[in-house]
Amino acid sequence: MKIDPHFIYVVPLGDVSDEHLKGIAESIGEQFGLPVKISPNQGVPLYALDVGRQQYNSNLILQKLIHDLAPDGLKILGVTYVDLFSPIFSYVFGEAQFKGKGAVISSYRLLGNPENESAVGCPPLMSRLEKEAIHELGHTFGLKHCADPDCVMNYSVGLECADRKFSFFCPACRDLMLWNLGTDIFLKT
Amino acid sequence: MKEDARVLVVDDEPMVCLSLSNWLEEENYFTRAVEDGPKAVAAVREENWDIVLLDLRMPGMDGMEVLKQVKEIAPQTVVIMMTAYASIPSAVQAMKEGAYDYIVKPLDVEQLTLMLRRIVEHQQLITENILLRKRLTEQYEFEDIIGKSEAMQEVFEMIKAVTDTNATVLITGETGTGKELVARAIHSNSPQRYGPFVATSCGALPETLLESELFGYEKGAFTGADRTKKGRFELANGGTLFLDEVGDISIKTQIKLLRVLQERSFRRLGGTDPIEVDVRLISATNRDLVTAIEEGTFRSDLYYRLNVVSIHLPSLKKRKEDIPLLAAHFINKYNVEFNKKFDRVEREAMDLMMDYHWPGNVRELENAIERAIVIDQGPEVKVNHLPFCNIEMVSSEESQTLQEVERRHIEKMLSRHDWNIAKTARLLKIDRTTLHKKIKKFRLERQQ
Repeated sequence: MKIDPHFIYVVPLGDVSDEHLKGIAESIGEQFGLPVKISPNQGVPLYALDVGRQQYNSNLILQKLIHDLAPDGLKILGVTYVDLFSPIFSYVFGEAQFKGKGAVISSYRLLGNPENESAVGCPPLMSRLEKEAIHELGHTFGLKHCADPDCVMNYSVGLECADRKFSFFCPACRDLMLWNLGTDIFLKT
Repeated sequence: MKEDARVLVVDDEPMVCLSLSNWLEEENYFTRAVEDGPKAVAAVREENWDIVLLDLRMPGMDGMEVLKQVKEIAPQTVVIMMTAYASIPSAVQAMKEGAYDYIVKPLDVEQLTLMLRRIVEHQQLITENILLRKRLTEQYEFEDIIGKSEAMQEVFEMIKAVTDTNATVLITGETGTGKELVARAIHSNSPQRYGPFVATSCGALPETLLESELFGYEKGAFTGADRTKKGRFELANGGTLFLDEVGDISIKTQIKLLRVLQERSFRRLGGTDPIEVDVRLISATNRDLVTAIEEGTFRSDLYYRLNVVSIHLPSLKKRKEDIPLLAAHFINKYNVEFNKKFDRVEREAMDLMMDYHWPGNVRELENAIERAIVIDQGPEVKVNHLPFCNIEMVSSEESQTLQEVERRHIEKMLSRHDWNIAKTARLLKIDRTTLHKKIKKFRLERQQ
């Protein structure tokens, strides 16, 4: 039987709150117009731990997520609280396979300080997680960083700047995302 | 914003190349990654890169060697060294060799983002600056004629006004003001531009020679005329004939010239058949033709024929605000010709240039800059490069008598102040009558 891949899977990796998972799922469902499924928790991705750096390699996590993607899955998003790095960068908020299937985000650096403690007066973590999830998944649809400071695909240095942008696409990015989404589904069905 | 910025990644680790390329693409950069030095050098030879992210330690050709070659091939390309903590001293050394900055691996994504964005913005500003300068220069240039002064802007307007017509033009102005350049500018923008531009210096030739030069001659017309020769009028057919120093031609030749202008035809020396020509005539003179008419040395009817439209070129001392612009133009011109890298005029030299009376006008200024560029390596045109400073120094040394020193000093001060008697007398602390007496005594004359 032929299965049309059209779900976005959200996969918790370790101790991620249900509230956050639900919020992320709703936001990405709304922005991408696709049904979202929350997968069972896969636990802390110890396979990606770099003992020397005491950080988790986002490349390895991405590889495993994509490998495990269900046949009905169009995209997959891992959500974790561990500190992520990519081999070239000292840390990342998240990483995506550009024009690919998978993305992963972490709440670790979104909390606002490296000691992993909530900074006083910082916007709710939920809002930052939503934006990061949509942003990274946007890359899997071939969207690049956008010059519009309000657009969710804008990449501004520093959390304060990121807080100023909205959790949705500007009209140009939205059109491009929908175009690429149509192509994506067409190619995979 | 950054879509046109091109970044070359050079690293022997495939993972670094892949990750950085992926990230740069998300950041809207056009990117390419190569894994060794020789490939990096080849890539820089083949294409233009705005930025090169270069690993310092690579097997074979290391980052320092690649940096040197990149800077030789494309000095404008910005190179950022990527290094591990242990190699920071080498990276600092690389900055002395021309690298823009260095970043430590693993890279701080925010630091890299800001650095790249800053470079691109800076390059965009440079590009904008170049375009603005170009636009400004274009406003101050017409063909090869340079000038932002009001007098030169008026000249440009006149040139533009006459280019589309076939009107006869008389260009007046002192020697060296660029009369032939104006004539060429009119020709190259006129309907005759596809025809020839034939220039003749009337003052340089004796009367008989000028006639045969202008109208040509038939074989046997005079001793030595062993073949028929076309004159300048015939050679300029369908184009423009430029008669320089037209004020110097004899009355006899003036009559013949007038006849050509009236009849649009002429006969070669020794010839009988009239030859019709379609020529636009542009003439030039440094003489005051109105005075010449009054003195009876120039025909008024020819003057009115030649002077349908007149363009007067101001002397350089009357448009001194153009001196820096002209100096910059000639510096660029002779930098290219002599492969030098002059880029400025020393302040003191510029002050002297602004003070000097430039009897030879733009031509003298051009020669002064050319001389400076020939005799030195730059990057600055200095006082000792300026020939008029040297002449004055040598001459002063040669002045032996007090009277000679006095004469030279009065002459210099008069010239510096454009022969303003009251001003010069005031500065010399003598009254005007005394100054007049000294001018008469030393037989000083104002040079045109």
